[in-house]
Amino acid sequence: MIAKRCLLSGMVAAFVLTLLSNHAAADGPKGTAVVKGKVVFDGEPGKTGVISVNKDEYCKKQHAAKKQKVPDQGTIVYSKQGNAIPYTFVYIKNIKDRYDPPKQAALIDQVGCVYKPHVFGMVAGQELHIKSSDPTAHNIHALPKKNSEFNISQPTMGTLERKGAQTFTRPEMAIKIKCDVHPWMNAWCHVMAHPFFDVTISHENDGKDKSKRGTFEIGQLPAGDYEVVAWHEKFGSVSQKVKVGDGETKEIELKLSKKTASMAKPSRTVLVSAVKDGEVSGKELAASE
Amino acid sequence: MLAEYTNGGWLPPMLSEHGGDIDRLITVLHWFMLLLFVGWGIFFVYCLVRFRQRTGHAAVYQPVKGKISKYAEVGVGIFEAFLLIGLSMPVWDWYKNKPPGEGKERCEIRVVGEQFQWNFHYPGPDGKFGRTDASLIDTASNPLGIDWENEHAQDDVYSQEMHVPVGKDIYVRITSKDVIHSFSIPSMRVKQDSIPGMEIPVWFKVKEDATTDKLKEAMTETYPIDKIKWRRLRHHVAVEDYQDKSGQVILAKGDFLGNNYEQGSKLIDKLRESDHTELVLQPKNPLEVVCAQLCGNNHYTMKAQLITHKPKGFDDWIDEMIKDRTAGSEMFEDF
Repeated sequence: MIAKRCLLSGMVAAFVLTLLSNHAAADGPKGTAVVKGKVVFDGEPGKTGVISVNKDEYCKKQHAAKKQKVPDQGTIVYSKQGNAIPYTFVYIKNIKDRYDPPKQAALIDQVGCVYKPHVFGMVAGQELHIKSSDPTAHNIHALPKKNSEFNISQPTMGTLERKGAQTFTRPEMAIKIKCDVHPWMNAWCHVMAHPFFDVTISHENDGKDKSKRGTFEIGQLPAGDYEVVAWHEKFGSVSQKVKVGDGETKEIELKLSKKTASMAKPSRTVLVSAVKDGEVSGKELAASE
Repeated sequence: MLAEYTNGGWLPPMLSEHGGDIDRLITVLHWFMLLLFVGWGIFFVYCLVRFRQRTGHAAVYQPVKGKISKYAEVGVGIFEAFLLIGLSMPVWDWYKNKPPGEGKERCEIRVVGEQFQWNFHYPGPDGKFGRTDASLIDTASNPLGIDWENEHAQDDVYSQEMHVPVGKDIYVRITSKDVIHSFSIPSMRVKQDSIPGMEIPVWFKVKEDATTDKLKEAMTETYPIDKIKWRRLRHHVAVEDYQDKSGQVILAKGDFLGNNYEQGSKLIDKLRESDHTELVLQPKNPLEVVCAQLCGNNHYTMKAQLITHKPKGFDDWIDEMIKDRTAGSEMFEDF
């Protein structure tokens, strides 16, 4: 009996040890190479969209007090900074190793009925913290396809929801996050298997240095041949091959355009009615979300 | 929100021209229901006593056959057919097939429901809606897919608040982007399901004196500071500035009593300490549009402010919205 119990606990211990050691071994190699650069729009960019936040009494007042309009973050192109595009997710595509998630949680905040950040990356298994800085009710609804969906309410100001390591466990690109209370609110989360990604800098985090807008920097790369991909919610994606050695820094420019935007593949078809003056017409539409 | 101001009335305040008919109908129906309930209740009790179980009495399982019951049944059938064909249908026809005059005589609004928001599209001074196209829809900046380049769209207005003029026919074209919603304005006695792919019109007229400003004025009340509870008055705003002892404004005109219970209670304590004995408050906005059909998780948040103006004030609002939109792109001069 005692021998049996010893055997059993031994097996459990061995199993746990195997799990732990496997986990530790999963952290892939890091190096000293750096890929940095800028994402720009090739051609004449469209106008920046304006969002109406008037459904919410608080957010309306907050933005009106600052005499500010709310820009549609997905349409911003800084024409004064050489058509730099912010909120573009830039990552290395061909990395086979798996990496441990960082200990620090990713954070998404809700400020004035706008998500901050609008686009962010995570490593699979990383914790996600969701904060609400608004004294109005928010509802955060993530719509992943490979990971599990969540939909939670944050009725009061200052609430911090700590989503654990089980939130997003599988690598998945472009998880849309929306608010069911404020339909205009949207953010994009990218879950990667490795930490080699960055989001291009916007007016919100450029530290008053406008030349930084649209730039990215991916460091700690092992030397090698890489494919760098830039993904934007509206302007599509583009990739470029780059070779870096140890301690080397390569600078590249990624160009998105109307052409890459039109190539962004629609993933589902919906039927929406469109109304002309005095008549109703049904129209089949390929939506890109 | 309005239910708070009816002083125990069993229906919300009624502010539209046709609403009286609906209230009368509801009242009559309830009296009829009471009559039926009492009548059948008495018959039920009578049967319980009359046909109770007794020794020497066996139940009869055959249905009753007789001329009286046959004539009564046919009579009820004919009477109900008369009610439906003779009375209900003409009245329904009168309600649903006689829309108010076309063009400038009426104020036309397109209403599009979506999870979980009401969108309002106004044709502007030219009275014509600009083209909308599903492929132009952007959930963030263009929820209705309005083609802003279109000639009729130049003076169009998109809003998340419903603004209407008083004393003028309002013709609302209701549709939906996703699921079935129900467009409902309790204070106007208007309710209509909104169905994707269909456009269903309803119309109503707001009473001449029921402007939002007048309603707010009528609902302005003085509350003794000791009786103020944040929860009960959280939708109210101050009518004037309130200062603390050093002269600093702690509750500004037009502000809520704090954004949550904690803030609110602290503010009320502070006001009491600053020797204010009473506060003059009014509702921020007494009227709203709601969704009356369970449409998903956040159905309860699907509300829009309803603001009623004098016709002149309504035109000013439209002008202001057009100006505001056309000034839109220059606002981001830094970009």
